Amino acid sequence: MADTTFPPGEGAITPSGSATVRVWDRLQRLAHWGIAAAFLTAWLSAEEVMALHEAAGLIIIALVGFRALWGLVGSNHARFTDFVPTVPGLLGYLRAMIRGRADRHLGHNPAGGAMALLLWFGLLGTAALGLFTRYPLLALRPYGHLLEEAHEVLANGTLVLVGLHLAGVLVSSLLHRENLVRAMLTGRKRAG
Amino acid sequence: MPYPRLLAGLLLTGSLAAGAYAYAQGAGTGVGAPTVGPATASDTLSLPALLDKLSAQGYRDAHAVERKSDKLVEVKAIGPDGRRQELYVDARTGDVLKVEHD
Repeated sequence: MADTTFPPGEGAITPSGSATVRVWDRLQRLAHWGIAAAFLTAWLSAEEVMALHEAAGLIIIALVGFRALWGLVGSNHARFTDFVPTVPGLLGYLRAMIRGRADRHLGHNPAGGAMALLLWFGLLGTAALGLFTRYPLLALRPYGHLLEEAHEVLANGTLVLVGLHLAGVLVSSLLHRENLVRAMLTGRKRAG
Repeated sequence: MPYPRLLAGLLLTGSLAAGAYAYAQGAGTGVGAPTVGPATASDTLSLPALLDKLSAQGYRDAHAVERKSDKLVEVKAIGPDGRRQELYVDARTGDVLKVEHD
């Protein structure tokens, strides 16, 4: 995908000689790894260390909120308008991916963009249900166990999404011979 | 296309709403009592658990439940005698400390 919107000076030459460009900005990367760490913490502390579990859930709510805000005002590839796919665009990309011919995107590819959205909604929904389980409204009090069940189902579903997300990162990395995990750490990708 | 911004707005609104709810409930401060599992005598009862105690004592239609402190909860309810009452309830045990008839 040609990308001409980067201001001058954003490009760089690595020691190996290949040009790289800034793709993911710093706050976006912090939000990404912060959410990942908080979800891991929440998963491991569930039903064990509830104070930690609750804190992790609150951090997820805050970081997803920040990420949504950043999706409105953040840098180029952080914006929702940059990566929320259309349904035909997503289906076409998935078909190409199965045939091993999916094209490379500097920002999110259509499947990656859809996955990010699903993850954020899954995470926020899980955290919100956890909050309602822990602090039920009076009207919801008779449904406490139902809330807890829903919280757990959504948490499991989100974990499955995380697995698919990692699989997608692996497949795309192999397909385009680049390390997408490192790109999310450094914020840079090969320009070409 | 408005959808990307709509989706971002939805997520942001959900996050703010959940955050406001968490703040209102005192989440993360360790003040609230567990609502799952039995409370011990030294714990502050959750409001649902406290209302259960009240209904076991014959009070019904509890409303205007207000936590005055970590020791005291104020509740308006219909008493066992069918009269509207204002109750001051021990936040730890659910015992009615004082009754005022409306």
